[in-house]
Amino acid sequence: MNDAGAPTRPMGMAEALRDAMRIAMRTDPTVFLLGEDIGVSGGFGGGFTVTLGLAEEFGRERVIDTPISEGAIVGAAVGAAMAGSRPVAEMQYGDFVFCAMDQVVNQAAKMRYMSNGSVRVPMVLRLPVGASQRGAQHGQSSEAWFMHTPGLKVACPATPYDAKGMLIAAIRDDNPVIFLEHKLLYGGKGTRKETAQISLGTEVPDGDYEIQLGTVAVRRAGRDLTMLANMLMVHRALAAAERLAESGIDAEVIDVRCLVPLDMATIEDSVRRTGRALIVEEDHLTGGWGAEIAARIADAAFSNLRAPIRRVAGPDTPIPCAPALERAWVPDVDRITAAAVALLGAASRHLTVASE
Amino acid sequence: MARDPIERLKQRLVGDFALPAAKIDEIEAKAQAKVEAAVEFAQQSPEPSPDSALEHVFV
Repeated sequence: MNDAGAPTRPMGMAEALRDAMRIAMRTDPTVFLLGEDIGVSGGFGGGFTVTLGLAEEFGRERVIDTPISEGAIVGAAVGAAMAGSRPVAEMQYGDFVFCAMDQVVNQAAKMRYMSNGSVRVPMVLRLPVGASQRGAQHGQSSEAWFMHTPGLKVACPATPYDAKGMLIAAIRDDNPVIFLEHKLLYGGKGTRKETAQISLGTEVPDGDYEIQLGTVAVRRAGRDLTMLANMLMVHRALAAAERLAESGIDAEVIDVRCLVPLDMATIEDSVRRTGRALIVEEDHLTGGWGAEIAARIADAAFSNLRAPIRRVAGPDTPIPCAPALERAWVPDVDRITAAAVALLGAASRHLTVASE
Repeated sequence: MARDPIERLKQRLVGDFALPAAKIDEIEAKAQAKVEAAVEFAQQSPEPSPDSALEHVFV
């Protein structure tokens, strides 16, 4: 449901997420937030301003500052969800979820199955992800880990509009949802500003709306190849598509905004039309979400492919800290453009790719 | 067995909290009956159908 015609205003992703939690908390008294430093009076609103002002509106009973224990945060959320609440738990950095993997993978994901369907775990776990000059332990994008775990839904929006509608839907979902938020997409509202952030400035409706989990979004229609990307990489793929267009290559760009459930129908339909797939993901190549989608495309649409499925991804090393190294590590518009050109092969042999 | 925490808890409940020993026996009998009933149910139930392995992942 989407209340088209409702008043809109420009929001960054942090503000859109805050708006989503505010609406969910106003409409359902069982929704509460927990995480590190999320409700401190006069504080920053968590690590990235997302919860700014919510403690003032809803009180510290519903915006709970926790000790620095990720296992306790997620474990408390799982228990509260099983007992009928709708907790929204936050990791200060998505990387810290590895301290809580037992609670996420062995508890949250398995309670419904192990109880023969008698238990529900309606919780959201918000993870700030993405390389942002913080190095190997503060920049990973962990969606592939959770995509591999049955029982978890995995959302990874790229725009403020999607972030708001998908977070409201995630909070109201009766299953555990891992919700990834790219740090460079948070935007500048609030007291702290990310360096090198992407300006999105998209119009977001003021009111209550949901974007159904399990959908992808075609951001740019094209005939020659299908680019599949999520979060920050959607924006880089779109920039690459603009550059390719100058050379007469018409790229379709699909925002894989939800990995579980996965809307393979839209992806397959696109690849059948274009005959070529280029997957763009920020995290490590090996065992990434792109490998899974590539396998499914090969399985479903092999006869429609005119070229091998290609991936652009981070190398199989930890994320480096030095800005120059990080820039080289994270897929950029040049690498994406070059990969697309290579995929088009002979058809575009006259194209030259500008490098930085 | 002297340091078995279950035995020690029983002793504390009886010694320090004046719980009647009969109440301990009653709790143990109840738990034992519950487990035996579950085992009986499992042994008397037909094997689950293979399809049911795919149920109850999501609501």
